Amino acid sequence: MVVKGKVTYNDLEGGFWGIVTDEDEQLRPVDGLPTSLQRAGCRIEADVEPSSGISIFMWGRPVKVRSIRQIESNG
Amino acid sequence: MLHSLLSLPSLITIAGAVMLGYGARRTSRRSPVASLLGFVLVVASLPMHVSATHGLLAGGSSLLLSAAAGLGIVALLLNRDSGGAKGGRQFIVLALASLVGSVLLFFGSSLFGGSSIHHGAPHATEDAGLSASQTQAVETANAVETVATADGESLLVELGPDDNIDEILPLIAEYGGRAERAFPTVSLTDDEDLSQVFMVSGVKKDLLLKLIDLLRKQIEDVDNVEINEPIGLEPVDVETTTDKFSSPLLTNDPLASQQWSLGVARVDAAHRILKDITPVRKAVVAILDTGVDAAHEDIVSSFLKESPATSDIHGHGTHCAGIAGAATNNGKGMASLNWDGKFVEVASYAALGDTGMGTVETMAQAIIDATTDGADVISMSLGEFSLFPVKVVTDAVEFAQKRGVIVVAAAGNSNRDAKMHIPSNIDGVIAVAAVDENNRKASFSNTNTSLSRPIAAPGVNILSLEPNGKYGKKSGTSMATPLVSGLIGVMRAINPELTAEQVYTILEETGRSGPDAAKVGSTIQADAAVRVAAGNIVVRS
Repeated sequence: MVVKGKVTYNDLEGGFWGIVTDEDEQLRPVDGLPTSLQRAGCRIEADVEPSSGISIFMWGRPVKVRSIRQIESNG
Repeated sequence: MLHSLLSLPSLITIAGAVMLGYGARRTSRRSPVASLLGFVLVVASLPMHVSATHGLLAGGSSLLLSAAAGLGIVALLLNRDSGGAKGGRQFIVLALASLVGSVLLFFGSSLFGGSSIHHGAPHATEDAGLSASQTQAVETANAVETVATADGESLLVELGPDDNIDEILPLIAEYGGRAERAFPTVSLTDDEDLSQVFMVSGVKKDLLLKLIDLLRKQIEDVDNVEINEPIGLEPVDVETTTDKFSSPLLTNDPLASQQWSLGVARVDAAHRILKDITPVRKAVVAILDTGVDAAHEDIVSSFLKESPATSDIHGHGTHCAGIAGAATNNGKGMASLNWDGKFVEVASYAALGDTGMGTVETMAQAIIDATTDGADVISMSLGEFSLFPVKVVTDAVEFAQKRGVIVVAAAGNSNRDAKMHIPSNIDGVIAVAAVDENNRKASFSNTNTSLSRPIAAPGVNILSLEPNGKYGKKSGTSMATPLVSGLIGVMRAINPELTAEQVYTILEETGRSGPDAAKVGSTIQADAAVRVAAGNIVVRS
C-alpha cells in the first residue's frame, strides 16, 4: 500500500514518530523512521504493509515500512 | 411584588392583555385577531409565571398583576383616543378586578406555603402508607426546601422497615429540623432500606452532632444516621481550578510539588484521610507493561518481590508503577496514593518487550498470570486499534473478571473514539481517558464514553519514576491509567469485598465532571472515593 503524507512527532508515552496520510489516517511505523526523515512536517511517500501487535503507544495503525522517500511539499 | 412586572412572563402577559383589550374595544376598529393573539399570549404566560414563582397561586397572582397593568395601559390609550375617562372605563374596572384577584392569590399563596409546588411528595407518601401527620410534615419540609438546605447541613436517617417517622418527629422538631423522604420515588416494596431513608434538614450546625447522637440512641426506630455530605461538588473544588493543589501538601516527598495531578485528582486531600486509616490488607496492583525497575528507591519497598518482571529497559512500566504505588511520605522522590506504603503492593508482568510492543498472546498470558497470582487490580497502559474483537484477549479479561480481578486499561492516544481500541473496549473494563491541568480532555486522548466503564484521570506531563533511580515526566493515557488503578488498589485494601461494579460506581459518582465529561467521563476524586470505600459516606443518587 503506497501512501503520501506528513511525518509527525508524538510527544506521548516517551515520544515516537508517526505518519499522518493525506486521507488523515494515522500510521505508526513499528520499526520507526530513518533518521533523515525524522522531521515533523516532512512530506513523504511510503510503501507500507499492515502490522499487528499491542503497544504502549496506542496511536495510529501499526505498519511495517517497505520503502519511504521524501517528496516535494506539493508532491 | 411590583418588581416582577419587569420579568419576561410579566412583559408577555402585559403585551397579551394590551392586545386582548385593545383588540376588543368597542369601536369600529375592533380586531378579533389581535384579541385572539393577546388571549393566547396571556394563557401561554401562565406556566411561565408558575415556574418563576414556584407555585400555582403565586403564579396566578403574578399573572393577574401583570394583566392589571396591561388593562390599565389599554384604559389609558382609550382615554387618550376618546379625550376623556369614559373611553376606557370598563378596562379600568377590569384592571382593578385583576389587581384585587392578584392580591388575594398572593395572600393565598403565602398562607398555603406554595402547596402546589411538590406534586410528587404527597403521592409518594400515599404510596408509602404514611400517616396524615407524616404527610403534613413531609409536605411542610418540601415547601421550605430551599430555606432548609440553606440554613444548615442535613442528615440521612434510615428507619427500620416497620418504623414510622412520627416516632422521631418530635425529637427532630425540638432541634428545629424537618423531615422529608430522601428517595420519594422508591416504595417500600422497591427497597425497604431506601424507602425508609428520610432527609432531616434545617438543624443548626452546632446542634447537629447532638441530634445525631440522640437519633442513634433511638435504636428501636432508627437503623442508621449519617451526615448528608456533598460528593464531588464540595466548595473546595472551586479553589482547585485556580490552585495547583486542593489542600496544602501533607507528604514529605520532595518532588510532590511538581505533581499537579495530586490536586486535580484530589490525591493530596486523600492523603489526609489515608494517614489515619489502617487497611484490612495490602492490595496487589499488577502492572502489565515493559517490566519495572524493582530496585528504584521509590518503589523498592512497595514492590512485590515474587513478581516475574523485575527490570525495565524501556522505562514505560517503571513510570506506570510509580504512579500506581510509589512509596509515599518516605521522604524520597514522588507521591502516589500509597501512603506510608501501607495500602498497595505493585507487581510487574512483562506483557510487552523492551521496545514497548508485544502481542495479543503476551498480553493475554500476562493477564492470566497476574490473575493466578492473586492480583486485585490489573493495570494495562497498552492497547491497539482493532476492527474486530480479539477473542483471546476478551477471554483472558473475562478469566480475570470471573475471579474478582478489576481490570483497568488505557483508552488510547489517537484523539478518536476508543470503541475499537483493545483492551479498553472489552465489556467491564474500566477505560481511562486523560485530562490536563484544567481538567479538560487531553488533546491526544481518545474519547471513552462509548465504552461500558469510562473514567478520566490526569495524563499530561505526569512526573514518575524512570529506571536507575531517575524521575521524569511523560504524557499519555498510559499515565492516567495507573493513577486509577492505584486508587482502586487503595479502595480494595480498605474494603476488600468491593466488586468491580461497586468500585466503578464509586469512582463515577464521586468523580468531578469537567467541561469534557461527555467525552471522557468524570475525573476521579481520590478523597471522596476513599471515604466512600471506607463506608463513611452515603452517595446520593
